[in-house]
Amino acid sequence: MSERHPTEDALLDLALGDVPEPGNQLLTQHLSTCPACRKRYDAINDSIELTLPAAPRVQPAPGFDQAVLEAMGMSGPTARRRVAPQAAGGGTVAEPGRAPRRRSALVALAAGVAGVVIGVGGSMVAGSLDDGPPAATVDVGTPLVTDEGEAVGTATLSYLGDQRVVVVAAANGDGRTYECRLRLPDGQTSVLGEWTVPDTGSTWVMPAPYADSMTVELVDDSGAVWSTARL
Amino acid sequence: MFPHTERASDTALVEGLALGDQPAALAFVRRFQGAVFGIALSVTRDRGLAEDVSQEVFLRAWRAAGTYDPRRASVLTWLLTIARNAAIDAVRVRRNTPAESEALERLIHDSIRDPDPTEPVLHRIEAERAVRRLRALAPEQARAVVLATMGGCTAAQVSQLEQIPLGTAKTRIRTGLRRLRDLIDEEEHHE
Ligand SMILES: [Zn+2]
Repeated sequence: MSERHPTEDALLDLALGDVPEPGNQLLTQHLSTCPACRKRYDAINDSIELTLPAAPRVQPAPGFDQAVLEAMGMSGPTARRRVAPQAAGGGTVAEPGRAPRRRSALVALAAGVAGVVIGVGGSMVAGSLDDGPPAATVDVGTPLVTDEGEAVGTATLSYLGDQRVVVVAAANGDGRTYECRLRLPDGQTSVLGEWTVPDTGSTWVMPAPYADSMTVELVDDSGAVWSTARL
Repeated sequence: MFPHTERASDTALVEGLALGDQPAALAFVRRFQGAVFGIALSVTRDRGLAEDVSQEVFLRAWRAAGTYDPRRASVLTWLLTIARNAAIDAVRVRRNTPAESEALERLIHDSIRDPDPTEPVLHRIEAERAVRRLRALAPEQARAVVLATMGGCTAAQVSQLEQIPLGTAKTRIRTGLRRLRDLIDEEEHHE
């Protein structure tokens, strides 16, 4: 059965969820053993998946969120931490870390490389609600630290679709202007952009190169490095 | 409730979800419920069924949260894919979802207009890119693609709705998807 490669039509039907059994299983089996067809199928499927964010948003009825939490067994005060029955662990629990100082809503600023400069949150402090262990940080950001050791924000590597990005959140910049620069292991640097950080803080998302490690440096207008984060 | 969930990144919320952290789970559901319910509704065109599907989607995401790989897809795309699959499973079992042209016309219209400005910024950027690509297609291809993806229609349903032969419907969907793939590749090259 599996030496016959499915037609484009058959792959399209499969991606549209329109192949009844037993055909569905046969096709799926073929794809798991034939890289060439798998590649053809993935091309169709990727286009579908990356189109879905255009779908209109519609809010469900009020109380939906609570119903979901109840179904997860997380609704009562006694059930604040509950791992899914088949969850395969995952996630990084780091030691309690210093939370970035951030006083109000993050502000998106204009400009930037490839036009991707947006305001987002960069880290989450997950206070443990169990009685036992101390607060844990679900670590998604490396603190941006000044020479004096003050944490003034975070830097994080993330992905926007397939694009690797670095997310820099600076807390209180006192309205000063900083250049954001990446230092690669070989000593090379590349400037990602320059921004004024308002009192309220701000966050930037910028395309990041592929490198094993890199250091984010925020440089003030006198050329001095204000803060760094090693990723 | 701890204070940082509002600003936590999508990935951080998935990590919190994998750890079974209640505030993270609640923030996750609230952040994504509009997107998940939106796609469930656009495929099922039935609010009751869409709510059931949406709940199932969040349970599936909870179970799979530990294996989520940010290099493969954004959280939004990952979750919307789970939602589309779950919604299609639900309607294919029923086999009686009418291809109501009115609801689907609205879907086509809503899918190629500018995204809701109140969306979280990262989600809006993803949505804007998807909309921009759809707008770059020939109109009849964009219609066919929207119907087949967000509308959950089969090629036969697209053919019926558009009053075109089945072969033409398949060609439009396939050509449209291939063109989208090219546009995605171009975007990646520019970055
Ligand atoms: Zn093959």
